[in-house]
Amino acid sequence: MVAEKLSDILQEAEIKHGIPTGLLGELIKEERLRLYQIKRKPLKEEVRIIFERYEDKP
Amino acid sequence: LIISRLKAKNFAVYSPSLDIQFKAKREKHLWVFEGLTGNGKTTLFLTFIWGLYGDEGLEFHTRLRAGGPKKAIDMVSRQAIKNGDSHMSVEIHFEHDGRKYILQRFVQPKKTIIQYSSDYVELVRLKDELGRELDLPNERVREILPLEASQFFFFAGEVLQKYAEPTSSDTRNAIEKVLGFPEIRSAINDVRYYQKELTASIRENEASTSAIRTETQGLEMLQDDIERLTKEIGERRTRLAAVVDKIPELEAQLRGFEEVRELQLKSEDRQHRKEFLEEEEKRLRDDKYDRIRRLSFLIARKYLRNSFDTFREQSDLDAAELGIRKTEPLVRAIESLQKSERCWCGNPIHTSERNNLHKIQEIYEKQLSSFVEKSKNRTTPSIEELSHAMGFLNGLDADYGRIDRELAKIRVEIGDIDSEIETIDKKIQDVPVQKVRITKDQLDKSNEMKGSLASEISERIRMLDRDNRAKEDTKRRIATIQIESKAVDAWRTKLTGAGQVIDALEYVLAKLISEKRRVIESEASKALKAMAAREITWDKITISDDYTVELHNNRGEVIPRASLSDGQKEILALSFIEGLKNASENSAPVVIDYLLGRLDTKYQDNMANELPNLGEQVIYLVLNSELTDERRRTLERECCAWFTIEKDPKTELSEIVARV
Repeated sequence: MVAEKLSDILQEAEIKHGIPTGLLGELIKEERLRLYQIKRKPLKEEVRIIFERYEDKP
Repeated sequence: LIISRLKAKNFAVYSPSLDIQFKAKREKHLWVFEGLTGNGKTTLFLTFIWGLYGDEGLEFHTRLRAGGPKKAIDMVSRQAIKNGDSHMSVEIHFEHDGRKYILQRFVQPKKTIIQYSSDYVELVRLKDELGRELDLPNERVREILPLEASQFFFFAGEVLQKYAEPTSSDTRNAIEKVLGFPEIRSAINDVRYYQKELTASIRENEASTSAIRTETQGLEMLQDDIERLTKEIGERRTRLAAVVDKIPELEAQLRGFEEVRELQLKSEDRQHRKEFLEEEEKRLRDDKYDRIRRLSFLIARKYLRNSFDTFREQSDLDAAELGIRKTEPLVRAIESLQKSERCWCGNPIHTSERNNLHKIQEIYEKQLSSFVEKSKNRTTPSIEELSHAMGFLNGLDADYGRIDRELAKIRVEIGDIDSEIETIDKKIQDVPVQKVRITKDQLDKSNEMKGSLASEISERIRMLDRDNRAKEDTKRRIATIQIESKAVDAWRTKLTGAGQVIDALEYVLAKLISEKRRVIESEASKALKAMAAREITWDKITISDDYTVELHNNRGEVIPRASLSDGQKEILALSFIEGLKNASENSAPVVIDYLLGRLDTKYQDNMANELPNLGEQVIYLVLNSELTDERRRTLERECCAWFTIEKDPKTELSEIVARV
């Protein structure tokens, strides 16, 4: 239920701020993996990659 | 996370093993484990905890409980150790997000006698449904249900109250983890960092505009320098060519003048020869004079010596003849005496006298023969000596001739040399000495200038090379800066995008906090009403910014925490947990160790009714005395399985028996 809420909120954010739900979801997911140390490198570089991936998307 | 099976080996009283299957039945999701005090309910609770989180989880969940914090070493079955088996393990089969996993945790003894935790090694494995072992098993379990968040799913009645009190920072962090806020906050921070990087790049680029200006000025200066150096090199090369052309001419002139030098040398040489000859002449003259001076002496000495020798020999001869004349009569007289054998006095000569006469006769005869011999060898100045003296005179005469010839020869040569020197001197006098000096100076200066110009040219070529390299470097830098300038538009777009992402994430976070608080408050209030239906004045639960729970009455007033009993606080805490679980990103079984008996009697029945609704999987560990017949019936209706925990008083070991 809550996950649905989060995706609803992400969609709202997309409508309000024009940022794709996928980009926000991917950022949060990446952060979660780092928070629990499943991925250990800092996200800084990942953020750049995620941004570039979404750059060409409308 | 839904647990489907729990297996254990030598875990405290559960020795040698434990194996429980959690099979859901017809939408039911309650499992009840009933047991007397000390039979192993809390141990079963800790089996789940250690299985999922290991020693860290065990410590986290026992630190506030009676008996204090525990570690794996405390949980290894004493009975098993006695029987020589110190191995302990727990295996949890679970399902998460539609996938099945098996989590295995072991402790293996490193020593025969176990005294400390370090005597054990803890191993953990996580396998997926295909039997593949996954890396980072502990981290993956924590990602599914963080250890801090597990306190809202795995709890004992005795620690509940703290959730009804103002929250500590640890609890706040745990709540935020359950609600999934930290990852969004981190994402915001990371995008902010990205935004800062972009801003810095853009600023650098803006700075690069002035850098281009500076570089261009530098380039112009370098170009001016290059042109100046090129011009100077050209000028110097022209001058050098002129100097280089002039040098052979001067050298030719000097070579002409060099003949004078040769003449000078020749003149000096002749002069030396002349001096030598003059010396030789003097020596010869001296020699000749010396010979002349010594001539009379040499001749006189020779003749004097010859005369002296002759005179001496003549004297010796005369003495010999005189001796003969004197000695011979004596010898004859002695012979006569010997023949007559009578003395001149007429007396006979005796033997001794005869012997004496004989000896005297021998002496005189010897003297006589000596005189005779000397007389025979009488010499006169020989012709040889005269010829020798003549030879000497002839030699001298020859020497005089030779010396005179040599002297004449020397005189001739000296005369030649004199005339030669005279000729040379005349030639030398004809040479313009001043001009030679000037030409020499000119040549020296020209050579000096040639060296100096060559050095200046090579120095300027070096400077020109340096300036050309600097020019190329500057051009490259300008090109790089210009390329970066082109990228700035893209960076600005990205910066705007990053700002929008931050806005969006902040919006998501604010909205999520608001939404989750609403869900917590709503679900907690709902649970409160269900569990404490008798408290008709209790209206709702609200959550403050630091997640502290507030209870409101139906007049909208906050009910002071101090006015609540322990049982009421536990109901409040349970309600909050229920709200929190509903708002949580995590899904996990709810495992409760001894709850009903701690509550006020008036809430126990409602709580019993509410228990099955506390989660998608509820595992309730209940003390026999908590259950009235009615509560037992209520729970039996709702449960998938009912187990009793039975303990063998002899072995002190427990086993779990399925009852329903």
